Amino acid sequence: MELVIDRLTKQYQNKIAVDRISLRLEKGVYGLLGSNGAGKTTLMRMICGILKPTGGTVTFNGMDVSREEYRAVLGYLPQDFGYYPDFTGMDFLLYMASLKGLSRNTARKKAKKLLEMVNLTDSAGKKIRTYSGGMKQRLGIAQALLNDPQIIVLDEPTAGLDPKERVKFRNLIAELGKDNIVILSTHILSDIEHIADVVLMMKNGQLIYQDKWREEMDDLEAFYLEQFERKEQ
Amino acid sequence: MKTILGFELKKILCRKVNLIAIALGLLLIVVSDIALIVDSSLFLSEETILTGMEAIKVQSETESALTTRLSEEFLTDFLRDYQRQIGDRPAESDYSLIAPKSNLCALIASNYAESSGSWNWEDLKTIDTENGIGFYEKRMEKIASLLDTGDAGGDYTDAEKAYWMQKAEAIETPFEWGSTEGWDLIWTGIQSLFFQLFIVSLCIAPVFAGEYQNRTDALILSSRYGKTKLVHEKILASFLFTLLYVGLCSLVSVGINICMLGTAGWNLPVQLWDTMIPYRLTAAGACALNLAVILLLAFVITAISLLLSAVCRSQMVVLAVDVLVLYGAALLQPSKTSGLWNQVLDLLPVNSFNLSEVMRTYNSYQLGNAVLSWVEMLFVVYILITVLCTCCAGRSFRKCQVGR
Repeated sequence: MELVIDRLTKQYQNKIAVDRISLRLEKGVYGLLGSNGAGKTTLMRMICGILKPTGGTVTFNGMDVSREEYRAVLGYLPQDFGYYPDFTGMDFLLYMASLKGLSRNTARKKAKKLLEMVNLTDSAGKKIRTYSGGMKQRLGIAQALLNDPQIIVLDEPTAGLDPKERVKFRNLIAELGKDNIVILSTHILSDIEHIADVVLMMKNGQLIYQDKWREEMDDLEAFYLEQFERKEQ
Repeated sequence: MKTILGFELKKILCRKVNLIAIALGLLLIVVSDIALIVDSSLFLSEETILTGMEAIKVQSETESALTTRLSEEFLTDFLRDYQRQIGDRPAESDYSLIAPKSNLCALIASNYAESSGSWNWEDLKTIDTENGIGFYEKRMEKIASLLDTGDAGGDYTDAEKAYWMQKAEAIETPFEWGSTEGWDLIWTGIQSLFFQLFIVSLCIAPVFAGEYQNRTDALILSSRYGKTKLVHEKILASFLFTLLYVGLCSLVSVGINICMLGTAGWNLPVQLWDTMIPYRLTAAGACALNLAVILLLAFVITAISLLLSAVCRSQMVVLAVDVLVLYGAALLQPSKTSGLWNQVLDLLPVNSFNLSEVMRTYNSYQLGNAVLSWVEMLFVVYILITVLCTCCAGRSFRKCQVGR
């Protein structure tokens, strides 16, 4: 299992949002850090095939990002994603499951299981318009996992969750990272500290740091700031 | 893929705005159809004017009693009889001679009028009945004269003249007479369905644009079928919705009229409304053809809405452009010198939904050696626009970039 990002670039007129990023990702949790506008979301969108790069490629086990087979093994939770207010939570998951190619029976079983996992079983029949921000976020996490994805891209997955839920999802992500490639973008450094196997840091579209997270690095916040300052020098 | 299709239909049908618009649209049909019936009147004399169902009933009964073929002999005898009774008095002085058979009198008078179409009851007194009135001969003469002098579309080519003459000659004569009152109202009711097309546009506008505006585009486009089957299913759901909605509107409109007026006269020729109509159709056939044109127009609007929805990402833009396409074209004036401009104008929705007008006009389009009537051209152009816009809409959504 290998996700290869090769000289991936995205340029908007005069601004380079992602600048020739190359990575080889294998099983594990990859924590993506960077300030606002660093290019994290742009990079994730290109990995998910919903934004065309200006240059470079993304392949998974040799499959190009533009292929249906690639999307079949992808689970994506975008930042600030939308929903269908008139759908119930169950409808939404069944709809997403049909888009992911699950059969009706499998979809129903999987949706039930995931709703239970994200603690939304009681609200499954309620319209999403009545959900709180945290409930919508949990529903988003559930949809990302419907197809048992091998590549899981999570953009700010714990935003809007209460501390108890955050811990629960941290553990879930760590568990998923054992058998899959999980790319996790967050501003919450403690999430990365606890679950990321590899830390990726971005600034101005460039990857300024990539290495395994080690306990001896001690305080990630201090390390993070140090990397940014070093780059600026 | 039934599930995706079902969910896409649900998205269209669950929007509150759509549900309210659909309910109002259906209410409008019921009200306008009933108003058409209530508004009907039959002028029997200065003192006796029947209205509503009574007027329709009396007119239908009178005309049904006359059920016959309009042979030359019958028409000559009918007119002789009238001329004998009215004598030298003004036609208006004894309207009771015309009133119960006013539709037949109007048919005869209009057949002898100039191509411009204006006539009055006095004309019935001047038609020579001595050697038979030559009703069908006069009809063909009028058509030939019209083709020689040209029509709104400019001068006719020889191929066009031959085409129209052939069509006119193919109409079975003598016409069978009977009551077509009910079908006249059904036809008018069907034409008013044109105003339902805005509701189609309103419901289809969010199909693609709604995904951008709800920020669900990232989720669905990154899913396995987001760029393939989903696009097909969205398009299919949109056309299915249009078919179901226009079907429901037609059912309500035609259903109300049939329930109140019956189906009598369904098999009578449309030439009973105007002898100049060159199409070989029955009253029910003309209504079905008009329904087909309305449905095709609905498909055109669906396809244009889908394209704009995918490209412009804004429901308001879709609605604004659709309103212009549907109704704004009424502001465009026909040219007195350019036949081509007029032929293009004729194809715009606002000029083509009313088939009772379209079918009375000898507008044709010559493409190489082939001649197409206005009605045939509508089908060709509308099908082409529908296919083209639909393909472009699908392509545009597939290629869309999130966070562009």
